[in-house]
This record gives sequence, structure tokens and C-alpha cells, in this order.
Amino acid sequence: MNFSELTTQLEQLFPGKLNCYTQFGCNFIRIKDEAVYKELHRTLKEKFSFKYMVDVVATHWPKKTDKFEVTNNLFSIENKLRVFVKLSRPDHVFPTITDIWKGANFMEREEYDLMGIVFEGHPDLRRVLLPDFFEGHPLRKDFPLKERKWFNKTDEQNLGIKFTK
Amino acid sequence: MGVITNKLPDNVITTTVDNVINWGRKSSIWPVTFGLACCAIEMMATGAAKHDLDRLGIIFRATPRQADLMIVAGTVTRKMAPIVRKVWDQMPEPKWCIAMGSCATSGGIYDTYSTVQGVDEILPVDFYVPGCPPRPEALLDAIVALQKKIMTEKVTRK
Repeated sequence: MNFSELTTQLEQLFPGKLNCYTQFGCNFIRIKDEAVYKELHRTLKEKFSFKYMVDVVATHWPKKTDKFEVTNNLFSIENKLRVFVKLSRPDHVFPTITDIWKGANFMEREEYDLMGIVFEGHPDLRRVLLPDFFEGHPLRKDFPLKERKWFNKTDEQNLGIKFTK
Repeated sequence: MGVITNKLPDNVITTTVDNVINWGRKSSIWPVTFGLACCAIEMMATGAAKHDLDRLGIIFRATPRQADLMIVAGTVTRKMAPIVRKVWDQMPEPKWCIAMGSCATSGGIYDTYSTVQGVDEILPVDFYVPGCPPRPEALLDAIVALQKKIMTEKVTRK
């Protein structure tokens, strides 16, 4: 199955809810109605053999009305087909896909950590890269690059370290 | 030496305690392996066959308790900073530190929210090696400079 065959079948299953297109040699499925987000992913996994959930990517667009965009990179090993499923929302709350692919757990935690996306229904949404006492989400465009005030917020191992720069 | 020439029997030499202890220290600098980023690759290259740190008596130790030099090779992040300091605190005196590469000396290109702006924020540094990463020759230069510094130290009195 190639992408145009997949597009035709998806159009029948979700009429008018999706925008499928190919750009820069990549296949994209943009979800226009977020109500079908879960159902589309479940269908892609169970019906169209997209068993490998490669990555979860979040983008911050501070000047757009839909400020946050989550892109799920899915791969079908059987059909050697890769699709990027995109959903944009004005706020930072998105549905989780951890109940469909368990491997999405850490990837969604990473997006929560760095971009502040809250995945509703995620079993354990904690920071994964930054320390627990960090405040804010550094990959957002409005986060100051040289924000180092948090360095002295705690001396977590009681070593008496004071940062000055 | 003029006064004591031919006054000592064979196989006797004269020196100072400082000199002989410092000579021993500078000829067996044992660094703790502390690679944090790409500089660690260059540090390993310095220790490997071509540049061969062993010929200077330098043998990398996997524990801070047997080491007297720490080569901080790479970017120190805020999350890593207490760990670097803890390893340093576990090393017995006398101990020295070489900050290797521009990240360890000043933060380098990472003037960002997560990077410590130089390892001298958390522990005393004896030598800074610039470079991104420094060539093995540059690290060797710092080690030779450290050997010279060790020879000037006073062991019997502070």
C-alpha cells in the first residue's frame, strides 16, 4: 500500500476530517477535527499496520492562533511507509497516544518537559530530562535563552555550591 | 655542591624532601576519568597509543579515591554540577584540576539555561585548556605545565 491508496481509504473512513498531502517528499496527515485524533491513530495502527511509533514532536508557533502543534511520526514496516500525523491547537492540552503505543510514554514526557504540552490521559506525566525543581518549559519560543536564575534555587545535595554567572 | 664534592661515599646523592616528593608526584599523576562530552574522545586519544600518557606515568583511574588529578573534559550542565563537585570532594589531597575545552573553561557556545558557565564555578581549576575540542598536544601541554607547577610546591610547609 502506498500513500495515495492510504489517503483514499482514510477519506472514506473519516470524510472531511483529514487533509492528506505530500510535501518535501514526506507524507502528512493533518487532522482538521480533533475529535477523530484517537480514532485515527487506532485505525492507523490496527487496520493499516502502523505498528512502529517513531517519535512525538511538538512545535510552538507563538504568532499563530493555533499556538501548539504535535506531530506523530508513524512507520509501517510492512508497507515501508512513513506518515506524519499533525494536530494544531490554540492551547497546550492534547490527547495522549500512550494507550495505543506504549512507547509514546517517554516521548510525551519529553514534550511535556521541554515544551509544556499536557497530554490528557498520560499515566505518569513527569519531567524526564530537566531536574524536578526546574520552572517553565525551555523550548517554548518565549522562554529566555539565558535564564539561569534557577541554578541557585536549591542545593539539592547540600554541597554549598553557589553559581554567580 | 662545591663544598661536598668527593666528601660523600659512592651511591649517595643529596636532594631536598620537597624535591623528591614532588618528583614522585609529578611522575605519577593519576587522573580520574571524567569525560562529559566530545572532549572525552580527545582525552582518550591522548591516552591511547599515539600520544601515550602512560609514558608520563599517567594512568587513568576509575575511582576518585585513587586519583590526584581531575580532567573535566566537556560541558558541565546544572544537573551534572553537584556530581562533578561530589567526585572532586572524594579525591584525597593533594589534588589538581584541568578544565579541558571551551565548555569546561567558560561554558563555550552554550550560553544557555542549562549549562554551567565554566567548571570554576564549582571547584578550583589549575589549568584551562582552550579548544573545541583541544588537540591532544594542547592537553599534553597542560599536563606538562602541571608537572612544572607540582615541582614548585612546598610539601613540608604550606
